[in-house]
Amino acid sequence: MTASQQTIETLRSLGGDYKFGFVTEIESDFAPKGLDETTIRFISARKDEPEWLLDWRLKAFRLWRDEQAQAREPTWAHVTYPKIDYQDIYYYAAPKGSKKPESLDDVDPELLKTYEKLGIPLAERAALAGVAVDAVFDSISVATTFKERLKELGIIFCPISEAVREHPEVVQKYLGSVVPYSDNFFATLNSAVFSDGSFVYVPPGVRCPMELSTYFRINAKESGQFERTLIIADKGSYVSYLEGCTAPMRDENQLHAAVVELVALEDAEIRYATVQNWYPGDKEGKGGIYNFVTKRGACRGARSRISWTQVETGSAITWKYPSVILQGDDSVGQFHSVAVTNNWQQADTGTKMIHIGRNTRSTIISKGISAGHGQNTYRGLVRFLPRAEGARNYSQCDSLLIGSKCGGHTVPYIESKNPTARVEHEATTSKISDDQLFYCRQRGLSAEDAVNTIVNGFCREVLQKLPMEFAVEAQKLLGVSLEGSVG
Amino acid sequence: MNVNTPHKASDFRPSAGREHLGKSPAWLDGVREAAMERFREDGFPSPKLESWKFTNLSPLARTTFRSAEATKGRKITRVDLEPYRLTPDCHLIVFVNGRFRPDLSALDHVPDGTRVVDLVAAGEDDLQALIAPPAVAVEPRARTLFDLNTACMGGGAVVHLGRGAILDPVQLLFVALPEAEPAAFHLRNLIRAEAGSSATVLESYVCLGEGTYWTNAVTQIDVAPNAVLRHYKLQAEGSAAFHVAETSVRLDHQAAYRMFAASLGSQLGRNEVDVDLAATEAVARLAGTTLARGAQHLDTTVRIEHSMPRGTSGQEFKNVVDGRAHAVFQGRVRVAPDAQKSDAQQISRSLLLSKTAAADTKPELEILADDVKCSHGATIGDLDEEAFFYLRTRGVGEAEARSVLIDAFIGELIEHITVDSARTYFRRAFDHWLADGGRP
Repeated sequence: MTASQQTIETLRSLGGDYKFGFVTEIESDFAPKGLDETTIRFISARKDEPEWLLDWRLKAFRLWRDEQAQAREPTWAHVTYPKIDYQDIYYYAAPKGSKKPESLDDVDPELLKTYEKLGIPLAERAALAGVAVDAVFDSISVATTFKERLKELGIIFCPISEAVREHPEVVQKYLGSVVPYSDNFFATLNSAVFSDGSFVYVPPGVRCPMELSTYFRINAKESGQFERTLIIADKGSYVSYLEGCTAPMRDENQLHAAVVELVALEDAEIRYATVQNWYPGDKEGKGGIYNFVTKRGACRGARSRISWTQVETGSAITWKYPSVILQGDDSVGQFHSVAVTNNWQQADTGTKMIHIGRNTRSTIISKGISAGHGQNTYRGLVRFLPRAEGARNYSQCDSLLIGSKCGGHTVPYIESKNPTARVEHEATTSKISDDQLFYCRQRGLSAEDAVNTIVNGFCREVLQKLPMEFAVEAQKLLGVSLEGSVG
Repeated sequence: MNVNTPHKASDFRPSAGREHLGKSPAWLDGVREAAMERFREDGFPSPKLESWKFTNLSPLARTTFRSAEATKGRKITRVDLEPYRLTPDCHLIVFVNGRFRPDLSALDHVPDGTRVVDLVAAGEDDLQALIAPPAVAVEPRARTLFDLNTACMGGGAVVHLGRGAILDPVQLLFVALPEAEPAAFHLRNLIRAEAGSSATVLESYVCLGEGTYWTNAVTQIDVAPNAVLRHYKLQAEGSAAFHVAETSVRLDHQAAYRMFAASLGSQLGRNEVDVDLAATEAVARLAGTTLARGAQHLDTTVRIEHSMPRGTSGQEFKNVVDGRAHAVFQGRVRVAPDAQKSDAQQISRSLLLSKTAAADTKPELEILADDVKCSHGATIGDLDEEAFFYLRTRGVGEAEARSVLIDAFIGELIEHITVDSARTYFRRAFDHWLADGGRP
């Protein structure tokens, strides 16, 4: 059974609306609740980190503490939530006894079962699926598959904590080079307390033969997840990376503040796909994940390419702007996004395309779908700096509204300092037309199936950008997320 | 009135320079004091505020202004104003350095049922309408210049159209005669169109001579059911001037409001337009252009609020930016919950003509009702190379080819002006700009 089929099976077999809301009963090792310098030292010690990294964390922590004291938490996004008590969160939670397993046989069977339920192929039989997976459970990575085969090609794919120990010079060179620790409130918090995440390095001229994937799972109660992912594609290399996320159903909100940094050198290409399905809260808007994420890629070399594809169906609140800094001449940035908000979900998401080099090009396709009381905002920046001769941008942002209590918003910022640069931006807001619905209903589709069909058509451009394994899952997720929004 | 620490602006005295207004009602004094208090508290809006993100008023805040006083030194006559008139015989109300000048105005033949007077002659009703907050709410700190205007307003036109009245057209002409010491003119205009009335109103801001001054204008507009207002505005201030204007429009059931605004003058200008479609089936069509060169910074900020169902709004704005100039367009459309069947379209285009020109655009949709048709489009770029080449191959000189293409770019917009005389008026202003200095 392939990963996607498994996923569909999982989706079908589990009843209810949110299919991943179970909790794994597993003993965990927590850092004491709350955040101060001891927490940072605790995390750093647990991971046997070198001095420079601890110093970096502490620098970030001190800045964050100051910003928090001055109440500098960002408020410009179109989202509302009660104040987060940062001292009421566990910043580190690890399944007990989790010395890094040598092989999957050493992994706690409870954990394996969890991933089985989630439809993530950790077992070697997943070779059929052809996806290398790094599974992150709360704060630590529990298993990484296919490491050996990748190693033969010189590709490093491992938890970032392991990379810090084994490839410190690469990590030190690139960590924080795209998203500095002082970047924004949540990135600063992440820099201070980040626990695990994936690290990928693809050597010059190597085309990574399989999809790399990380699966994030928040399990522990009252914990936050702060993973950090760093991907470096050296000259002329190629890598495609997938990321998926789930969490148990809980009444309280949980914080997820991740940072992802991508670096593409000359002629390199990175494709990064996310299917974000954190727990969105219940029908009354209780519980759910706060997904406050900083993702940014740097096209450092000439002709490099970075593409972000995201399907955002989960989370109570999404605050996320995967961006590309187009430094290298002729580099290309892409952003394809589907964001769904149903019930009381709120999403403020979009991208930034910063054109620095000559003839840089970027494309933005954003599809926002709101239902129930959902609030969905596209917020994007396209900036051409004076040196960006001949740069191009095309943006298209469409919003689909289902029901009269939801909202769809578009806030693009377009700034040009070069006359030869060209930007085109279009945005529309509409609802599913009665004609479309009638047509489908007349041909025997139920109201729900009709909406699913139309929504899938609306998102097609973006779904097509996903690797096959994810496209099917994403399509299903859209249907599940919008369940109960019509009729 | 000297303002040595304009950031704090604690030296602005609302009563100064208003002696000519005579005794104003006590409640109005209270309103003015409160507005002044807010301005003192928050000072000039800073780019930290979202709605002022692209425009920095510090050159304005740094300048010390004296209060508006009637010019003593220079005399101007009707002949001086001729080039700026819409037509030689249209109704005309003239303000020089912020003061009403009956001797230069032409108001003798204003038709029955209509009234065109100075602020001094405003009735209680007019005053109430004049001090109403702007039609679309934003964060209060972004509105401190409106507050300052409320506190200091010392002149402005009150145009009142009775039921079914027709006034076609009237020109409000604001003339600046700058002197060595910079002066600030806080103008407050009111246009009230009662049910079924129809009018064309042209606001022109012009300058005779050179020098620094500041026009801070607020125009309040109420359009009653089934009334039609065509509102045109030419901002052709002097090259060292500051121009900040707020136009606030409230539309009643089936009211129609058409606006065309051209911003050509001033070193630093901001034209803010707020329109509330406050009742069902209202229509607002806005168009405009900014022509900026040299080191000008010109900002157009539009907010349209669809408060009630079945409203229609359209916006088309174009910027031409040359030299080191900077043009800004911000356009927000908000559709309130339950304002179903709203139709809102917006287009903004910017043309950058030089390597050092810059344009910032922020179109924004905030939609809280589902059965709506809303869209916006925005482009920024330079002249179409192929079109340019086409003209060059046919023997058209470089400068002329450029001018033809720019002319074509803004020429389309003129179609939005439905009154012939106004179309000619703006055409002339654009031709002047294309030919040279940018002022008619």
